[in-house]
Amino acid sequence: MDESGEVTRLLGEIGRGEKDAMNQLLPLVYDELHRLARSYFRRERGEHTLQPTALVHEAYIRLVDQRAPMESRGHFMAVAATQMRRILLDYARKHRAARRGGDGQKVLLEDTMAICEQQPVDMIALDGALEKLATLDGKQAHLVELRFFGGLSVEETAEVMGVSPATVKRSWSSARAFLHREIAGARVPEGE
Amino acid sequence: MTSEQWARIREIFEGALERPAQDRAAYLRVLCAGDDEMRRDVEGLLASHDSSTDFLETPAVHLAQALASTGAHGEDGEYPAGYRLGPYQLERRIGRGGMGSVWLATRFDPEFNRKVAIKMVKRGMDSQEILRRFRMERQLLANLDHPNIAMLIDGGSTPEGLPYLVMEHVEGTPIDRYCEDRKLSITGRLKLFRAVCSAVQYAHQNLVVHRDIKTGNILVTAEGVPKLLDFGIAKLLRSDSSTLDLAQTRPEMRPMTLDYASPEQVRGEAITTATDIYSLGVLLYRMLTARMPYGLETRSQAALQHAIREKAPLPPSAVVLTDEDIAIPQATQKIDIAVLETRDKARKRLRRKLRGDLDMIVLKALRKEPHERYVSAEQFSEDIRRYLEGRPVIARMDTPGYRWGKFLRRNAVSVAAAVVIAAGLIGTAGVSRDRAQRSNVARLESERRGIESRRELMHTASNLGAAQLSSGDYSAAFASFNRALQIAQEFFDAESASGAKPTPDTMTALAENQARLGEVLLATGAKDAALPRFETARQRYLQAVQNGDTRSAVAKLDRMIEAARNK
Repeated sequence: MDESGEVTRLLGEIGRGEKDAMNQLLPLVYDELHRLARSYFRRERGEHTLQPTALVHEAYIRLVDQRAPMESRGHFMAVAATQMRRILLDYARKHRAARRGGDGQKVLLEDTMAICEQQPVDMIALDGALEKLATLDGKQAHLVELRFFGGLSVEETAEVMGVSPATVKRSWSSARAFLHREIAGARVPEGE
Repeated sequence: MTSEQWARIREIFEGALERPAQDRAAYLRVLCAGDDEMRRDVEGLLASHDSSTDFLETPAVHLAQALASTGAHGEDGEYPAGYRLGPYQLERRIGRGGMGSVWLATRFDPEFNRKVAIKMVKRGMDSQEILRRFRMERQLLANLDHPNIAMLIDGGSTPEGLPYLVMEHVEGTPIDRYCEDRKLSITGRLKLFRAVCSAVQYAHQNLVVHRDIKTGNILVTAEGVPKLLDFGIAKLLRSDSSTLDLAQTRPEMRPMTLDYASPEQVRGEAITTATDIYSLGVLLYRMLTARMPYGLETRSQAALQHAIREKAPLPPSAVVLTDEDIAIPQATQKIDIAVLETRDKARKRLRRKLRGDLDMIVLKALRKEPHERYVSAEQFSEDIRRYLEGRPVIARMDTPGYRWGKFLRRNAVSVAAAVVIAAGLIGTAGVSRDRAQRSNVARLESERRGIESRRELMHTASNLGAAQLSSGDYSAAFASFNRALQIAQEFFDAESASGAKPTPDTMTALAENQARLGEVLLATGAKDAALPRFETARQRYLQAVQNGDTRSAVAKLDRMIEAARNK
């Protein structure tokens, strides 16, 4: 079976509640995202802008039979967002391990700043804050995964989570504020 | 903060955002009346919100250009050589699979300059379930201490939090190659095999099932001590019993270990100690004959799976004489050629040695039904000892021939007819181009008094037909399948005459050979003649019903019929 058939089949099994299917799907999605991420950036680097298409969408198009039911799309997006979070976190941890002894406490995805006019994000601190949010409200943490790591729009997130876009917007704003405060709070004593 | 408190804070915060900034203070005063702590929380969130308009708004993927440079940390985010993991320094990767990798490493300690093998789970494979199992099994493995088992030395976690195992690093040769390199006698091989059995028995007593016994996992040291690697690791690294794609421990191994898989593994059923017994049977088969039990079938995974579930393996003595007609698995080609050279002269003698007890011993371990195999690795090993001491083996008391004996006595007439048919078949076998197969048939002639030999003959004819079909010799293939079909028909008649319902095996044999005849006809372009064969085969399969595998055979046949119609 080719990869797309395999992933589509596994998504179907997940939809039917078969537990093992998830274990089989995780590495496939992880590998594909990782591979795609690297080629994506290699390809884009010399050119002007990043495509607005998020990586997860591209992985979806590549890995899943487009005739698969809509609910499979939701399962895929959720899995891919989680795996994307892991990929970035792995990178950050490895980076920190490599710089151990230096000032490498914070690992920022700063290489990208030329492209995005945005505050760098400390991935490891973010991960800790997200874990904390997950204990308070699992759905909100999941929403952050979908939005930030999965790159889904508000509408897409609403679709995957089965709620209204307005609910996503509200929930997103409080989750974001929570995470920002957690990270800032963790940063202050360290910086002194 | 509790989740209830957070839910309340959230609600107030989200409500505040919907109000104009100048109204917020009043709003908070009302809703947080008397709870200053909560009010400060909400105010803090609002401040965070106002000072972080773009926080997390650009998806991480767009921030992740850094990923492009992860190559600095090794391919696919893995570790570079020289990387220090706990007290170990990675030297080089010695194996890699879908779920993890194995590294040769040295302990970072001047006192023990010891080489170890480190086995890691790959990122992405670390679901909670797998990590939980990994930790549990690590405990079990830590208790295994046997001279023929590579020891678990240590365990730890990578900076990413992935667990790894540190194993004794064994320098040695895969057991099958060792046997050939040293040109070990049959007795020498059997003794070596018994040492492997003792390791498996020991593990089973400690409630650990290996699940992945194969030649590549058994290395023989320079001192001649076999060491079983990866005990239980197969289970650790496998997410699902039906997935046979294991982490490879040695780069030269084929990625799939289906070759050693038992029928229950192929069917995705529960894995027990009987599974290891089966794999030991495949191992012994290979050590004695340098072949795999379903040599002919290894061309495609689907065919091999089918063979493992449905086909009776040829007895070891029957395959050592053949060569042209056995498809040699690519990855093992080298070994086989070497084996053929070293064996050529001794082949006949080897066949005599294998025939009888050793055939029966191997076949008993390879029974489709787990409960028909040896009950333990110890019993398996004991039976070999009995053979070595010239005593009767238990495998023989338990053969279909023995059980069929009673049936024979009850049905003397039909058996006589069957023998006549078998003799007639042997008479016409001369048309076969295949010298080896001829002597195989001759061997069967000498044993034709038992029903068992007819069954073997049927499978031999069918296997021969398959080889002929794939080499394009359609008329020979047709004749072979036709013979096999005649024998199946004889079984059917004999069983019907005894008043019992024909067994599913017989019905399946009828179906299978009809379908094969259909395939031959189709291959020659005789579609109109092929279709009725398929239809008949389908009826026979349906009569064989009972198990799910047969139904899948029916489904397969449906596809063949469909394809034939559209041709």
